[in-house]
Amino acid sequence: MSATTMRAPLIEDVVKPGETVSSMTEQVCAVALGERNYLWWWIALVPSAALLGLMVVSVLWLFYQGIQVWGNDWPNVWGFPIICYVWWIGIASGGTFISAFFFLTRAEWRTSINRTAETMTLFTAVCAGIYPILHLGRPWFFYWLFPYPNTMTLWPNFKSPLMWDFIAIFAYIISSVIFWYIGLLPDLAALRDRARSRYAQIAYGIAALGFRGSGTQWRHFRGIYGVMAGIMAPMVCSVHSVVGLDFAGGQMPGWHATDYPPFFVFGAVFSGFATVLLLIIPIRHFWGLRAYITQRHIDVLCRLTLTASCCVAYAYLMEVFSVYYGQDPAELRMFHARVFGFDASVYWATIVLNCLIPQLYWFRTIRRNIPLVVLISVGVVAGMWLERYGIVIQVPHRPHLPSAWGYYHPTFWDWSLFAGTCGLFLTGFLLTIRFVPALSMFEMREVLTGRNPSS
Amino acid sequence: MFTAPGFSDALKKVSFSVASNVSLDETASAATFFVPLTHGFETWGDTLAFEGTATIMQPQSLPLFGGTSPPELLALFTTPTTQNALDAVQQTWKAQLGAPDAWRDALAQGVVPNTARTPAAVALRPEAVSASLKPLPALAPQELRLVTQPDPHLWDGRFANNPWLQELPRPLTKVVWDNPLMVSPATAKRMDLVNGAQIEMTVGSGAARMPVWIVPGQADDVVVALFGYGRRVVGDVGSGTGFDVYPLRASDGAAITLEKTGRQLPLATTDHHDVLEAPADDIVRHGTLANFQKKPDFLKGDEHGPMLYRNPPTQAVAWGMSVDLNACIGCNACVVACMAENNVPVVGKTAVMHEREMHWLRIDRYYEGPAEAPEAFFQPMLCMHCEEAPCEVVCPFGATVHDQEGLNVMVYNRCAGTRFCSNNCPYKVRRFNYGAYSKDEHRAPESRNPDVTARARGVMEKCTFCLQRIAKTRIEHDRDGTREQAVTACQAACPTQVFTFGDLNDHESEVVRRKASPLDYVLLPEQNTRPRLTYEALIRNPNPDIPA
Amino acid sequence: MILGSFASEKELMRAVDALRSKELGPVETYTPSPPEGEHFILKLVMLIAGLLGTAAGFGMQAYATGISYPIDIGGRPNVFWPAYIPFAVETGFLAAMLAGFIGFLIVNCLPTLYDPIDESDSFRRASLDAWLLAVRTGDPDRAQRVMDILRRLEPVRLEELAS
Repeated sequence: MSATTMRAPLIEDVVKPGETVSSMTEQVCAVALGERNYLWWWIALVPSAALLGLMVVSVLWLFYQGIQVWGNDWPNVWGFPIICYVWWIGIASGGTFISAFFFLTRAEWRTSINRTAETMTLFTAVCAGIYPILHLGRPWFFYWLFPYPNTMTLWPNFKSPLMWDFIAIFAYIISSVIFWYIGLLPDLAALRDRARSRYAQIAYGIAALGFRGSGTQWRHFRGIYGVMAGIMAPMVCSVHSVVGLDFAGGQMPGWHATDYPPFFVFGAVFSGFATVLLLIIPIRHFWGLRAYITQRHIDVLCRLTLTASCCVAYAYLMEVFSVYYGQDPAELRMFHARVFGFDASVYWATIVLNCLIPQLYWFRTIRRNIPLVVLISVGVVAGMWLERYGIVIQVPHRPHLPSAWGYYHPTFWDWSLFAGTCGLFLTGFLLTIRFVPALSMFEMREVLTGRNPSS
Repeated sequence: MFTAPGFSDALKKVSFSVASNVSLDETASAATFFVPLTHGFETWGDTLAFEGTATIMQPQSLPLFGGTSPPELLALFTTPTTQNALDAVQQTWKAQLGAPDAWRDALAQGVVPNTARTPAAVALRPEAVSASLKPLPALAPQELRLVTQPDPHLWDGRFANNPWLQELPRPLTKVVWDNPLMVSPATAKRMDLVNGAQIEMTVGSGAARMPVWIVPGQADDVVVALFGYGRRVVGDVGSGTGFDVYPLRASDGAAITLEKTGRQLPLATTDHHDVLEAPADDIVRHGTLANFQKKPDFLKGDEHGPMLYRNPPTQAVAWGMSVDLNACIGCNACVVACMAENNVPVVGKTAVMHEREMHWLRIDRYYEGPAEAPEAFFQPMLCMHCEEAPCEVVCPFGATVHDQEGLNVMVYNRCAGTRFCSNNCPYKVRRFNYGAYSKDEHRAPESRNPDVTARARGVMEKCTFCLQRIAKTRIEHDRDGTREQAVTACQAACPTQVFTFGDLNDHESEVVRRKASPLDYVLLPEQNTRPRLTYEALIRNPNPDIPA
Repeated sequence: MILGSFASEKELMRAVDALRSKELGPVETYTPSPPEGEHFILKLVMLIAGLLGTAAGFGMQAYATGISYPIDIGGRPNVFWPAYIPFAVETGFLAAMLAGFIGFLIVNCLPTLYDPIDESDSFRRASLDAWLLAVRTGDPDRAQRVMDILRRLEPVRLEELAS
């Protein structure tokens, strides 16, 4: 190799060299304050809003007609709503994982993607949170799950895994909002100060709550932010473990496994990493943030996806092992139906999309090829949906008693509600990412001035 | 007119006809006049037993929807003046029952005394019997023999408008709302048929198109068509369901050919699983008499697995049930009795195709053995009222809890419909109201049991061991100390005494005696549910001279 | 109030050192990114709130099933403590997060939508790329001394505002 050819750096830069605090602030604020071209944003927003409308229609029809509009029957009493619920909350968990866990590990690449991740968490958690209410037979009574004082001195049943699920999701959504908002306050203050139009100044001013970056405020901020990250990281593991316990707490053959909580956490962070990839790639392109969301970030997220894929593959292997080691006849029957039955394509698609294809990320050339990364990530997201399909629909289809065997046939309204929640997520995400800085400016400043923001 | 296909043509030749029935039917709609009759329970009448004993029929209620009673109708044709039914009946029996007391006695005893006929002694002539049997013509290679049978529930069609009977699963096929042509597994394999495949049956000079249903154990060269369906005028429920087989009755026993049309028709059944794949062994425990005599409790097995805690209910009365599998013939009478007693809604064919039927009690049917000649087992499945109920633990609203008499109680008002209880029931006995089934039933309010709530949309329901009957006996016990005993609806209706229900703490009760049997076993004991309902295993004594 | 605007954090820290222990009035910095050091109090508040929250969550469940409305559910013991752990843990997390957030608002007196410092134009850059120092004093003598000290350190801008 001649001296004039450059070797590609082993660890790429987190920020493109040459960017300064001012240039970064200018670029990011410009986006939020309406000083860019938003054509792509409108192109993305209009169909998302249409899907959101579809969701409203689906929900209204559901309330009018009841659960019978879906494919739920017996024994598949849970269907698409629970698949989608677990899928959404899994993606949300991945976002919090990046934002909180990697804060604690002092990862310097976290700063430019954590805002996207946290915003993604917010809206996916909302999408997930509406499903348990909608899937109720009488959703107008969901508030009975709150232990509020009532004339009959009734309490909800705390022994139930669904009750743990309720408080976990409730705590998770509120905590995610708080964590997102606290991390956003300094940037809202920056937007307030940078805004030219009076309306923007007032709106951002109120939103920033008067945060002025004073030494006291910053020191208190540092005081709580680390602790909050330290709470969110185990909380996300506990929330998704509780979601796993929704199933493992039951006796259904195939659900009743102690490996479900960690298995669900692996799957959650896996789908979360892939979705964050899918979100930051267009954002860096369309908002012009390539200097701050670099190839390094994509590379890191690809490797994280790969790690999670290996963890998920391990969980699948353990599932196979425990079925054959345990030799429970009902479980064996159920598993054979899953793997060799008429709908075995779902199981095998899950294996291929979740375990095999992401192994391509071992290769650097693949990680640098953005269209391929997008494809693989879409595959991961779809594969995780199919995995939940396997859990929620394929497993109950073969319970203990053969007389109860049956199957689930999704209806139009199942799909329309799912598409509608995608619309809810995208609409909320797009609206937020338009008005809120796409990356965490105050943390980026620290990176640009050479100090690690997590220390 | 429905049951005799040529009758409608014949009726056209008559200038005046009067039809009378409880409701409008095909004959009535073709007759010149239709006289609605009162129901048999609403009028005075009389009838004879098979050996001539007469009984006077008393009305159980005033006519709900008006109508004329048969005695009144006949009187119009025979006497110059009108006569009400009571007078007509009294007049008929005036000679037999002279004194006024004798009339009241006959009503109280239920029979009119001394009306039995003397039996005549006759000798059976076996040669006449065998002479009357004509051998059927042999079948050509691709031909099958047609056999027509009345439907087990709708009978000859008279009950076609009864939604309970329409939705009651047929004993072996578990088909509802339809009468597919029943074929043997060999025929199905030969013609590559699946359940619901439509065939065209050429019989004589005519043809009929019906869906098929594969019935293991059916003779290879026979197809069975059930008549009683396909009625045209019988009310909302029965009109247009199924296929009218009466035109084929004339060809009963004839040779027919089948041909696939390629279409697939939707059929509703309540038992979906791969019929021969599911093993009965541990679920419907069965054995031979020889094994039973060697070791009586050879089928008992464990009652539960290892347990961490135990909190049995504490009240003096402990309700329990024993289900005797030796007695169950799979007739489904218990299912419809439960529907009647507990206001269980009928959901219709489409909902049954979506596996949303609401029967609290179901009869599971298992096959064991080769498809050509399997053994069939029946097992009634209802809520086991487990002492360690998995369903109770997982309801986040606390809508299903345990009472201290041992019942798993379902609190409809508190249920918001998460349906985890149904997922967690290992026996899958819980049913969910996916739609407003009770509300959508067009049913007279009098037809419902006033002691039982009708459930709303979005609420889970299941067998309650007829809690309303238990409550009644509890009230009587509180009032005057009568021993608490209740008879559940299924127990009352069962013709073979499969169900025995009672107080397990009452050492003289029948249920305690039955549960002491060595054949008594718990279903799915490894689930640690400690159910109050146990089964008595099936013992068969196959005749060694009959080939298996 | 004296407001000095500096070009970098180093210069700001020099100004802070210069004013330290001179008792000229409350000194506050306004910076676009957090300075060194952190306050401990909110960490403690969050910890205590988290522990109390967990205890309260567990206590509520134990009270509900042990005293208030004990009922036989699945033959399990009334106070079925293993099942109460997830709820208690989540309540603890939630309590800690809420305490942190509300505590943050309280100790910083947020929301304060108006502060006299907002009158300054140079304050606008405090959240972007300028490091500001503010000394809030009403006494003209002290104000003059502060201005003298600061002028020697060559700030980008130095101004006096009403407090």
